[in-house]
Amino acid sequence: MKKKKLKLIATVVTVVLSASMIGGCTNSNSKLNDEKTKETSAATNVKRTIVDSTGEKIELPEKLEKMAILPWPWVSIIYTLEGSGNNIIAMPKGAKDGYDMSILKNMAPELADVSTDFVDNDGNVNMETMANLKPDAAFCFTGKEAQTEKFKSLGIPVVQVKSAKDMKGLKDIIKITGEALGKEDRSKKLLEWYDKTEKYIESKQSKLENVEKYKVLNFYTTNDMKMYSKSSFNATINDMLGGQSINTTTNAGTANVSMEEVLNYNPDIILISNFDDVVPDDFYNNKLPGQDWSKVSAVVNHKVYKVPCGIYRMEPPNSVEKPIYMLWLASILHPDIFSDVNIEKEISNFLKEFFDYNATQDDIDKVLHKKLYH
Amino acid sequence: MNSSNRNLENIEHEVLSITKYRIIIIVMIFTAILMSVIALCLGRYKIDILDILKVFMSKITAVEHRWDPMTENVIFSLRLPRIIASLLVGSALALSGVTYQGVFKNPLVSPDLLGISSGACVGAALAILLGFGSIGIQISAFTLGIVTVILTTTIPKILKNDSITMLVLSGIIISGVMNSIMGIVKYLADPETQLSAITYWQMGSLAKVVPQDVLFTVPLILISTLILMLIRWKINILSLGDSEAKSLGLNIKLTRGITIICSTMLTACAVCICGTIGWVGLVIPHLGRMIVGPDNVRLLPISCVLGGMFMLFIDTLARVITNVEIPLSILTGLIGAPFYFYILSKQRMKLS
Repeated sequence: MKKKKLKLIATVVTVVLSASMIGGCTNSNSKLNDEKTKETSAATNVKRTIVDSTGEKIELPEKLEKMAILPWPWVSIIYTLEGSGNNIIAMPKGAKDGYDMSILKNMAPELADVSTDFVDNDGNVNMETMANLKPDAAFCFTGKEAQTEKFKSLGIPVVQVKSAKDMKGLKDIIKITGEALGKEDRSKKLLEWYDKTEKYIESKQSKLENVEKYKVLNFYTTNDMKMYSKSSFNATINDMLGGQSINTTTNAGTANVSMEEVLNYNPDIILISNFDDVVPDDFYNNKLPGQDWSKVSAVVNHKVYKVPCGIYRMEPPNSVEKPIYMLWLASILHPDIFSDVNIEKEISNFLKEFFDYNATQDDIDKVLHKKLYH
Repeated sequence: MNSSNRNLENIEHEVLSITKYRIIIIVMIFTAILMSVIALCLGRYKIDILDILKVFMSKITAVEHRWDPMTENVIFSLRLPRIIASLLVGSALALSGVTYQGVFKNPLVSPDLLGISSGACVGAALAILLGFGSIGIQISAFTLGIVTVILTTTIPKILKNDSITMLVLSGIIISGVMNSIMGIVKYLADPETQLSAITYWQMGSLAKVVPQDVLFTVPLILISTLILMLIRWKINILSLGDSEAKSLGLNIKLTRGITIICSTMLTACAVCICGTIGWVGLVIPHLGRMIVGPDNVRLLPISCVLGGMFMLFIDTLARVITNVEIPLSILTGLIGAPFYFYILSKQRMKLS
């Protein structure tokens, strides 16, 4: 009898708990909506609706005060459009490393304590940590539906953009971000700068038609021989400036390339990224483990450069300072044609116009990695 | 012949009284429920246990809402789906493991024997490579897992050798082929975005589970579990050996076929919810045998509950220990393998 009673109690408890659990699962969404609208209509009456890269309409609060940003370069785009980092509460460690190595560290001390441990190096977000941070909006790249679903189920709106493969892609990101932040005036200013640079390069196209197309090698990470691929934004820029890129077959932005392929290609110019600590001297002294660069044209002719790093690394396709990268590369590839480029002035103009920051000569030298060249 | 005699003798030594068994199973179910409630409270996002009870009560009756809406979100969107999914996955894998061990008369067998995990891996990797969404990845993993098992069971038919050894060997062959294909897919994958997704899936995680995923696989898991529970006494007869079973009137081919299909279905569903997870199907049946003995009539339900509890424990550990989620296979390996050693040392290799 005792055992039967026990069994009965057990069954009742189980049924009650499972009923509430199942009820919770199915009713929670509708209940959540009621609560959410009650809460938000009380707190912030004004909401903005924007359309992001997926074509979806997204409702954002009027003022975004707590933003969680997942793609590394987007942090500096948002910083540029906001003019400060006060409203950013979470960014990945890769972006934080970029911040630490750039001049942004001096310009934006408010970003020093931003949370970075909600996402691991592969981009997997810990949703509970995110829930703890309670952001107003999350910014992600497209292609991660499961993650977006989780954000939405927590009541966090997600703004998605596609990683840029060309100038138009980058301009779309700037435009959408401007709308999301309510800073269309600043995004317009930024886009005007992009247009101006594009027009300038286009004006030189006739002169670039008959020049020798020097071979550029754009490194992503040096030790595992990962390059920016032929379908990346950087390859498009190489073409625009009268250069060429190494052949890769992938659709992705980066690709592994073997040493044999590099020797076959024999690049005239090597660009080292800011994702590792490799410097031109490592190539000149052939100090890279497992690789022999001594016979390569770029090394023989001392044409190995490290891509500048302004408020963020400039080699990724989504870097906000891409026009500076383009002009910098132009003056390396064809200095005679692009003789009127003053890269130092471009850098200080950008910093003054958007942040009212007077760059010192030390700042500019740091951006251009001047101490690596002799 | 000898093993079957030993089987009967050992059962006499280790049999539990029916009441003891019933108590054990009730206590286990209670513990599982308790563990679920505790798991609901644990996590990086701090929630009071009183708030949890209030949230649940608010679904049944009217209770004043004095908690942050984010709390409700975290409970129902993040934790509850994971808890239910881990219970389902754990019990499915354990049940499938127990069945395989019974059918193949070998306690060293795990659900991966017929190559379902390697096949599902390839399916998911291909889907990630081709850019399918999460539903596409699940369907692809499920389909390719089933196809692999079909291939494995077809080889003995082609070679006209129906023995267990042949089945195991063809499992090894197909798994080998699938693993090589996996290598090719990983090589072609974009190192920036796809490769980490594939590896993450291979190591198993419940972090991305949404209720819709679980809804699609729950009916399959429940039906397969029900069928296996109904015919679990037949697995006892199967484990006596082919000729013994025949003489007792069992349709070997049919029973073996049904059990293999059901276990494969269970493993495929588990794998497509959360990726491949090893060790559960191997270790939990042994633990079950330690508690209730080798009688499959008792072993199957116990393994179900134990498997669910184990997976719940592992998943809760995975999301609570550090900020970065630890993939499940790593934890099941780190905990399961030494645990397996402990079980075997306790049993002194009495693999009956």
